[in-house]
Amino acid sequence: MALTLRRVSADGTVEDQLEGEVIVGRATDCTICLPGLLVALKHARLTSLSGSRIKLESLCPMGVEVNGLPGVQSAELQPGDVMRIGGHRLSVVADGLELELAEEGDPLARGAFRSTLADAGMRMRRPALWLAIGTLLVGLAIPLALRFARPPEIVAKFLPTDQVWLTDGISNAHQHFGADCGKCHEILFVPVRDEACLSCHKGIAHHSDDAAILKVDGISNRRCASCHREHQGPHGVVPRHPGLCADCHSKPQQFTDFPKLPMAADFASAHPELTAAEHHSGLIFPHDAHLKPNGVRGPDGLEKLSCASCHVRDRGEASFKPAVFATQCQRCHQLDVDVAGTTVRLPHGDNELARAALLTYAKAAPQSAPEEESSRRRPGDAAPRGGAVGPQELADDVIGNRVCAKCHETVRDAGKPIRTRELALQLPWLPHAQFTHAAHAWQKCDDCHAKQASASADVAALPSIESCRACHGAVNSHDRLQSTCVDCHRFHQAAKLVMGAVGDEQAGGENKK
Amino acid sequence: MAAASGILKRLFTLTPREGATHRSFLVYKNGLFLKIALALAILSTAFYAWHDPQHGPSGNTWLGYTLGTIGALLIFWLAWFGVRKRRYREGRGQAQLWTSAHVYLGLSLLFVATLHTGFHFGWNIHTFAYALMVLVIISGIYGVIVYATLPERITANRDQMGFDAMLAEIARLDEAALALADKVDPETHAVVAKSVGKVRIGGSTWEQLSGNYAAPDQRSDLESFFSLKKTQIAQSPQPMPMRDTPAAAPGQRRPQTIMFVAGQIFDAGRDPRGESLQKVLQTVAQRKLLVERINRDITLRARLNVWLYFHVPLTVGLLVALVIHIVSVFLYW
Repeated sequence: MALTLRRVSADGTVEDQLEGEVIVGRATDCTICLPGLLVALKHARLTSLSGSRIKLESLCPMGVEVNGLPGVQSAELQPGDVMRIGGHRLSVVADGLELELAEEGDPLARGAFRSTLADAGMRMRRPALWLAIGTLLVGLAIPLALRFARPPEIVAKFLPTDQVWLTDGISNAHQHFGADCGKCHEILFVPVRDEACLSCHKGIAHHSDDAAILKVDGISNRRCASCHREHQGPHGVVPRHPGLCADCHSKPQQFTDFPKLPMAADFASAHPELTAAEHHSGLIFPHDAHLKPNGVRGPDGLEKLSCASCHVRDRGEASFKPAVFATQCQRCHQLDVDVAGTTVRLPHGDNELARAALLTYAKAAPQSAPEEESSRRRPGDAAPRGGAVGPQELADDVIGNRVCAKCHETVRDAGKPIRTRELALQLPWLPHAQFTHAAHAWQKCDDCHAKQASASADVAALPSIESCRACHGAVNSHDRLQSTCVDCHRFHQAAKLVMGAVGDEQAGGENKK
Repeated sequence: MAAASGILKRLFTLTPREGATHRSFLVYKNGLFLKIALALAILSTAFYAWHDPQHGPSGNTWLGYTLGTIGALLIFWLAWFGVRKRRYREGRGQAQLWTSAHVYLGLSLLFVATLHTGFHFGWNIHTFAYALMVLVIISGIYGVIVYATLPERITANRDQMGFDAMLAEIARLDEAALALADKVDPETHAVVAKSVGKVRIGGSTWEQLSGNYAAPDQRSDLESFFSLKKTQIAQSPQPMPMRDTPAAAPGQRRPQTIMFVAGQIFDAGRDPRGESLQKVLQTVAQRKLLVERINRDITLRARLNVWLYFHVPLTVGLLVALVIHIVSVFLYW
């Protein structure tokens, strides 16, 4: 059966009719003569079978590459199968064979080789593009889109959120909403506004109750976030750097409206002496009389008192409980009064009740006739005090001079009975500081306080700042406790004014427009 | 150590070696850019040490913003350098200037950008940008080292023969071997032709970089074939059928076999076919050496260029990440 050989080249197609057995090879007497040293002299024999099939027999050890499989020695080929011999392509088609000779220039028809990294598949543009697109999607596009769109939970779980922009850890206090960036960062490209903070921190005290102070530059033009910087780790939100306070307080001369503002920049080197607030307790208590080194006369003889005899720490251990008469004074100070020969024990703590008791006993006493003037009296008898001794006068005398007034200041309003002043114990000595005794419990009282010398309850025996500096140093100290402003002071210390409540007069910061 | 000091010496050779016109770009204008970069690094470090920001060092202080701005401008500028310095039209001096500036200012970025971070690192886009920058710089350092050391070795390996010339020589040897094998017998021709088809030049990325090219198993085929063929020629003028060729023993090494075959061929040398066979063997051995040399060349060039496949894509990624870093910082101000 004849085969049609179609030689395909750039110049066109030439057809030949091949009869009988077809020998392919380099030798000139072959039916199909192929050039090139990679072709054996007699390379293969092709025999036409029925139904367009062709029988291939290799005549050399090299064999023939059939459909990509090299070294085939014999095979039955069908239309569509492709042989390669020495780089030349010989394909089986319906009516015979189609031949494409190997390109000139590579006489040995060696396949392409990889002599550079680019040949071996290394690329620059593609990875660059993927990296850029991936970064853009994960780093910006998807997180930004998720601010405005809420995909189903199952999808959102695998999408990058704006957490990829999160710098350091969120403070402990804000952890519970930390995943919701928009809670604070309400408006894109706008610094966090005070409103965002005050929506939770309602009613937080302002710096001062003096609205004029709140108008000065260092305060009125600050935002919450100017001082409270988030993303500083678990405890980062309360600023500790002294510079925040020292910005203003190191230069009090700049604030001419507030001449009393003391200079404070650094605890170790630039801090005013501790000054106690003006104090008026209404109590007359000479510390020196009670803390005599040899003791004081008590019901059972000499007793030595200590600070702790009266000053008992309160529950928070920051300060002390107010002294209580019944437990701390009465053992020695019994409030017994002799009314016309009867010893009356006055009730404590109530002016009206004490006066009523005095009046009752005085009125009930027999009105004895005035004694004869005599210069003699028996030992033990009360000395005549002279003047009228009516019930009211007696009560006034007991409250205003003899008994109550020993320990209490008295109030003498015209037209009203004399009474003791309302006590004001537990007033803060250092209203601008937050001193706590708890942290200093291991110290002895007189390490700091020299109370024995004080004759009054209203003169604070505040320690000298030098005694503080024995332990407390500057913020960068290496041999003392590093102490910064906020260890003792609070910015938010006003009693009445709160942040954000003073309206336009008050701070609001840059973004209050 | 010796290698390292050799590299350093080579990198910073101030005076060109005798007769050489090469002068490292690293000492361009007596290290002008080295001085600029050092000044930048020292100044940044000094400011960082002096600065005591109220909320701790970070990118969010005046110094942080300053260092960040310098760093970002440097990165954009250096990326532009990368494009620019490849335009050799400006001449050699210009190329040296750009390269010198690129290398030193790029290295100074390690200081500027690290101090800009205030040493705050995390799993976020900001640290990602920083990490990309560090990878770009590391790949660049590799580039500087190989550019200073490898070209010399490439030249030495080529031995005044161009790459294309080596390829042409291989083709010539192949052709010669085939022609000679043709004179022996069709069987020899077939075996040589098969080996020609199997010669591998170059290879995968890993083969190129490691220099370990997977050798096709043609060697043992050839060896056993030559051995057998020699015996046949010595014993009988009639070629034996190919199917009797024993299978090659696996793991046989070529050099021993070549010696063996060479010896055998010497004995068979009286036969003209034996002479041709010996020439085939010599030609194939010569080709093998040349293939090894060309593969060595490919390896050296791959090692010379591989850093660019990291440096360039990472730089593109860095530019994108840097822009996102800047935008995101102000998105959530």
